Amino acid sequence: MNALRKYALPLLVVLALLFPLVVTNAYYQRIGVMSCIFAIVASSLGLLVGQVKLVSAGHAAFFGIGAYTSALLTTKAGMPFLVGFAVAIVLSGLVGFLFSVPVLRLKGHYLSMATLAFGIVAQMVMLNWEGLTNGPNGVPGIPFASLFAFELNTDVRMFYFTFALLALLLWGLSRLYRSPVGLTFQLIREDAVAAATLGVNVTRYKVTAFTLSAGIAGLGGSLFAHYMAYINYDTFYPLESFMLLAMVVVGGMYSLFGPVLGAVLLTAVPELLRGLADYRMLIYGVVLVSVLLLRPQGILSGRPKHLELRPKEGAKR
Amino acid sequence: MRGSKRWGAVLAAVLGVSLVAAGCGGQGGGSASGEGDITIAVAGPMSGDGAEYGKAFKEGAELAVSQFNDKGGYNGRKVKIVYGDDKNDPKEAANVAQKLASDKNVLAVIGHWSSTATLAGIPIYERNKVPMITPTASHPDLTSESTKWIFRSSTTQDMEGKNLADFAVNKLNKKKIAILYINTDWGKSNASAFKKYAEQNGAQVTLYDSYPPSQSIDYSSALTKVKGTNPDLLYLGSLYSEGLLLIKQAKDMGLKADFMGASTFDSEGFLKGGAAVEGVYLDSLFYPEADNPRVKAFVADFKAKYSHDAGYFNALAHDSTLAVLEGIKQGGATRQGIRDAMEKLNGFPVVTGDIKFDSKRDDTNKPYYNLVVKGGKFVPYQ
Repeated sequence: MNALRKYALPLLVVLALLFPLVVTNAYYQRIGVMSCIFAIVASSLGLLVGQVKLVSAGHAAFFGIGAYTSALLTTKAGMPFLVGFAVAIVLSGLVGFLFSVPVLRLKGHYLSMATLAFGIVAQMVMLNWEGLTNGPNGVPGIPFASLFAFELNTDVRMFYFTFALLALLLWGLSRLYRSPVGLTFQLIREDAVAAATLGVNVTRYKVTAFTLSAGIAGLGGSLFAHYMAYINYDTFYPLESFMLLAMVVVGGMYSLFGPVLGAVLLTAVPELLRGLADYRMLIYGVVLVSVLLLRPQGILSGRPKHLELRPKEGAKR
Repeated sequence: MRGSKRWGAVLAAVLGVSLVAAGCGGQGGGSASGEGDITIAVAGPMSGDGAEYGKAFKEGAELAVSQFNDKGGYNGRKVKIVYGDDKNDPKEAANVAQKLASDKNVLAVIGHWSSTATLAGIPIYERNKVPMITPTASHPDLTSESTKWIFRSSTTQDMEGKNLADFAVNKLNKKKIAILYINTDWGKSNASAFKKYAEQNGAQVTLYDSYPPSQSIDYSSALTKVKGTNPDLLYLGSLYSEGLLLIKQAKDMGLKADFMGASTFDSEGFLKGGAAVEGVYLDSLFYPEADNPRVKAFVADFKAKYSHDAGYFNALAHDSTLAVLEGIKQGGATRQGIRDAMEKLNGFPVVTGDIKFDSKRDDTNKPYYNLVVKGGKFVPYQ
């Protein structure tokens, strides 16, 4: 059993690297690219929900800010992709920071309500600030992503690029989760009051997590925009935020790979069910509900036992 | 134990997904040359909010294809249709476009319904060299000289705006016009074209405002503004469902003005408004009782096949399909052949006019009917 665990990760990486070579149909490669992009965005939300227990119901806003930033910089200002990409990360992180400072005074459901409202406001800005965002027309003609002169103009290239970024992100997150900062996040998640009594500046850690998460979501947004070639406000509607939450919850919020699995499932399953036409969404719904019923902790569970500070279940206050 | 179980789950899931993907991957790669059926696709909102429009596409296209097949098809080969459901969502539309483009058997695409979904699909069709013709998407920026594979069967917003403004100002003699529109790409370009030509014709636009495209049902704030400007015509750049609510609520408020909408009002659903929609003006590319043998034949055949009346979107989808079928007939059963032949169509007769594409591959060759609702029916304005 241990052998399985040891070889699972390298095996998965090899499988993923072989994927676009074995599967040559561009449609399935597209599902692969979309899965990677959404795995990045879902992982950013997993950092918030799973590590710090900040349930953001407006994460599509940061995803959208990244997408719009990158799209507008490359189409309207004629900047190269890498500039748009970098600015997208910084700007969505900055917006996340500015938003989180006042809002993180709220707790639990109230925080979720505030993030939900933020998601709606952000979408309304995308729709109504016509001078900047083209309003309802959206932004057409977004160029391919490119690394200097190397254009990522095929699904295969885009797959390797997004997969590399995802791998890098997961490596970074796994280091973070085991670092003193990550352990402090988990301490705050388990008991913010206890953390505060130990001298942890809870708000500062929460703001850090939020900023980081928003920046990563913006990164995903930039990739999305350059891959789609056309974006408009429709894609960043509040329901998309719940879709992202569903990815995190279905996959398993406490696990590093949970949001990735959730993103792959929720991206691939509706597409693979396309042949079933009218029954597609019905079956998709049944799959989601059964996952939540059978594994309420998500497919990949695993809240680390050694961190449980709470009274055991049943001993509720 | 827990850990290994976890890895097992990941592995199983990923393996499963990739196996299914690989298995399906084999099907799409089939060769296009062959003597079997010829496949074309219809893409649109087959489920979700816009499902009625997807159904309209389906019916119109099916009628055209079944008649084509009954007449012997293309050198004895039958044409069959596959459907792509985009739920009227740009993200899904792009996925559908890629799915259709990757299937080498799909030679042409009729779709999508909204300008937004079409804009999301265009880069993919263009890159993969798949001829696409949209029956309905009317955003002016949708087609361009450089997108060689993108066709449009309906006219543009600009042409419709010109016709409606002429109808309102010169024929109905309205001089004070308020304009309300849905804040989508469609609504915006629809209303701005109407405004431009109404002002050119000498009318005064008393109000030019939008409402957000959510499922709102109360438009009283927008309508209060309209009432304040005391117009003699309220122009609605709306889909029929909100148009209906807007007109009812305006009448309840006591707005003394006539109403005009675009061809989107040309729908059975709009007439269900009963007394409220009586006297509303609109235009359309399709009028089922027009004195035109092609229209009469289409209306009769449609009724015989589906036992309900043909509508505007049925006619447009039918005509787009005819253009593709004619492309197959003249250019052969390849993507390139269909594209080249479609581009050269010159006065090809269809229900809504004679197809001739301009340099942006827009069919700007169609006449509008000016209509008014009278006795629960659309009748030509005299």
